[in-house]
Amino acid sequence: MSSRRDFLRATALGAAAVSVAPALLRGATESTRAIAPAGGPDSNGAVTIPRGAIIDWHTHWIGPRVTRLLEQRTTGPRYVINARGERFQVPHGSTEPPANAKPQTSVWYDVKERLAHLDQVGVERQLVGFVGSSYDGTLPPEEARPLWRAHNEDVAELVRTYPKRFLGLATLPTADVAAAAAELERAHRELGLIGATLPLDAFIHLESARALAPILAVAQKYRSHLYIHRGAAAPTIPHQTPEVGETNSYFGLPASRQPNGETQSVPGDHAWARSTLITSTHLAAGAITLALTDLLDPYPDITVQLTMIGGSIAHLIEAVEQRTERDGLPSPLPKLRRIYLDTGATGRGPRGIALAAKVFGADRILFGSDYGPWPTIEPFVQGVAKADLTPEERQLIYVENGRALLRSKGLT
Amino acid sequence: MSSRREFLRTAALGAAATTVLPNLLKAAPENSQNVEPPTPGAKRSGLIDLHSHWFSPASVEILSKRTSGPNFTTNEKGEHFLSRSGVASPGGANFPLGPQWFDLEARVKHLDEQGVAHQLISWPTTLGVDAAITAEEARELWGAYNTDLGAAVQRYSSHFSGVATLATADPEWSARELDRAHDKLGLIGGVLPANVFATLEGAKKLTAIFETAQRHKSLIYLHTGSGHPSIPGQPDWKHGDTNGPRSSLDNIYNFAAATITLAYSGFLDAYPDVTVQIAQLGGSGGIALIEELGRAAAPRSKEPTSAKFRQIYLDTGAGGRGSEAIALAVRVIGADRVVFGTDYAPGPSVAPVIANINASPLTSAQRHAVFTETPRQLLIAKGVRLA
Repeated sequence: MSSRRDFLRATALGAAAVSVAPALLRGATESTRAIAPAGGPDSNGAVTIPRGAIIDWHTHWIGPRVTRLLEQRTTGPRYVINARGERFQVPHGSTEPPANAKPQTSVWYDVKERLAHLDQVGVERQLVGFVGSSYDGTLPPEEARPLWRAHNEDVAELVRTYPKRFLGLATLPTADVAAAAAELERAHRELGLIGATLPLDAFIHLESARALAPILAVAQKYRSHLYIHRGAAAPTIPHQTPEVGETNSYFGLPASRQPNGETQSVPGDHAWARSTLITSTHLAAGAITLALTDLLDPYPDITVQLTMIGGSIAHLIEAVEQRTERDGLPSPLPKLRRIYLDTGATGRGPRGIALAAKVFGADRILFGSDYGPWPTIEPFVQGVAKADLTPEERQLIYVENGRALLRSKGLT
Repeated sequence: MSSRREFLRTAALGAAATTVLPNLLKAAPENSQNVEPPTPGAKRSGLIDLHSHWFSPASVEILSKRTSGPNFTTNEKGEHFLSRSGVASPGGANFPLGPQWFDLEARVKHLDEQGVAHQLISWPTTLGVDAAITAEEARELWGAYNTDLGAAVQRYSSHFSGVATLATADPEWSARELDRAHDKLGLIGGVLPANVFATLEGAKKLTAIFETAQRHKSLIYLHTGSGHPSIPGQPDWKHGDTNGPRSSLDNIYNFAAATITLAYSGFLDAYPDVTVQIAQLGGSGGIALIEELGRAAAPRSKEPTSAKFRQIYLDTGAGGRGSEAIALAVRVIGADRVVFGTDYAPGPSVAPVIANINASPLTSAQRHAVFTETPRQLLIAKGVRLA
């Protein structure tokens, strides 16, 4: 945001969007959920899945205000919506979608469809956030500001309309940390959100994360829930390490075609396995910054959630414990338990979930589906069901950890 | 191992288990209800340890003559160190070397006490020596070390096998040295630092070694550490904070990256008779995450685990103290591909790793496979005569 005039313009856009958005949101009505009998077995053998009570802590959604703003843009990032109502994303720097572009799936934005799916799967409530709405590193701060503000107002509207079904997180720009801190204040005081989402790339190194101190100070004041999700931070964040990127020196691999894009394939190599290793390492590096440094010591009342089960952090703990034991240092586990991990896109790996629950404690794991990018929640429900966990541990992950976390925020 | 009779009984049980329970040794389902109760203090015998290190007399002599790191030093108290000024390796500038690094008689006594029937010896690439010396220096040092190691395994043939140290600064020489190791020294393969396999590009610089390894059906052992800077694609980690945990994460990444190169790229297709052993469980369980997610979510990763890991074994190594990581690797990769390794010498006793595998949530068949049967089959396939 470069000027007061820009700010007022953005506010006006936001206000205009507010006036038309509720109707879109009201297009979906709360329906009666199909709740399985308590304690009854699910289709997955003898495992009981608490259908109707699951809390999903990892979902994404793009609301009507943001959609409208993206439609109005003439260059990417923008939306092109065809006569059939299908949305196509236009990448940064282009004016039209790629020739082979597929439309964005409606689960990204259709609230009615989302609610029907939640009912079908048995998810009582979802936490909605989207780190991508900050447009950090994609747009200049003044162009990005209307978008993240609109996103936060969209989420607020969604939560107001369906208070029993959704919780919301604000998207904050790392390009303007002072503005981000002010927006977090607004999120709590005016928008009814419970915290914010921030990009993982700002947490790979301690020096990067310290640059967000003004945000953390506000978060402490409001006992915010901060969700660290994969994503690029603004170039102004110091010592930032992208997951993959143009230089890729961190990983010694060829540059990807876009920030945080999939690793380029080398003939004869296995790009997917490389990408997964990079992502899991990146997430674990973020867990180290969040839990094992002194970053969060001044902010004891912030709750922190790291996505995708913290990548390989659960695999790392035993090795770290071995090292600290050798050096006569305290176990890192109590500090690591400072953060919550959600199952996210790794929720389809039951053994990984079980390992995380064993070494971290099942009371630190939140159910998350990555719904939005993924069109269905059920595989993630099954991922937890198939994990080698006790019924009590599964209940913690599906329901109770989320309830306890919400109670700590004064929510029931 | 308390007696030859016990060993034979264990071996017979193992053979029976392998015959009738092959499916149990493959990647197991998630439910671990049939695991043995943890028995950390259980006495075992017939164990085969595929991860241990040794400093030979000639290597001590050559490294003692050097006036700058990496060199062998002894302080006024008679304590020995590998001085590593200028060597980018974990563990500090002066790495202490206790008596277990040198004394094979004492080692045999310790192994007998702990029930370890046989041990594979390799150079500790962790110490970063190969990365810090010239090709000429490497040829002298590793040639002398390999000659010593060959003599040691001939002298203690029932207790030890060995793999030659190869120079990453000179792959052509290393290929010839691998020939010598098999033809003249009685060694069964070579050891290389894992980081040179972090990318396919790096691995391809070592094709001369693998062509020779294919002829000899070698065991190529990937152990912690970096190779000569002339090998491209090696991770270059730099951290400004929380160095301990971040170094552990580096280690997982480095090993998992090497495992991807060997198990997921097509690199080994041209060398179907080479066997590769990767330390630290191929990334302390990190590779298990990738394999599991690949099976669940990636259509390009539908090749069965058994096919990807047909030539690859993962040893518990220093990661053998992580009982949950061992169990995860066994469940995802299979007990027929996970082998017992203690990292003896850096660790002065094999007992903690044995206790940790005892504590790992495994079935009795899986535990026996890791401790004895899988490493036994691997060594027999490489021509080692076990008692």
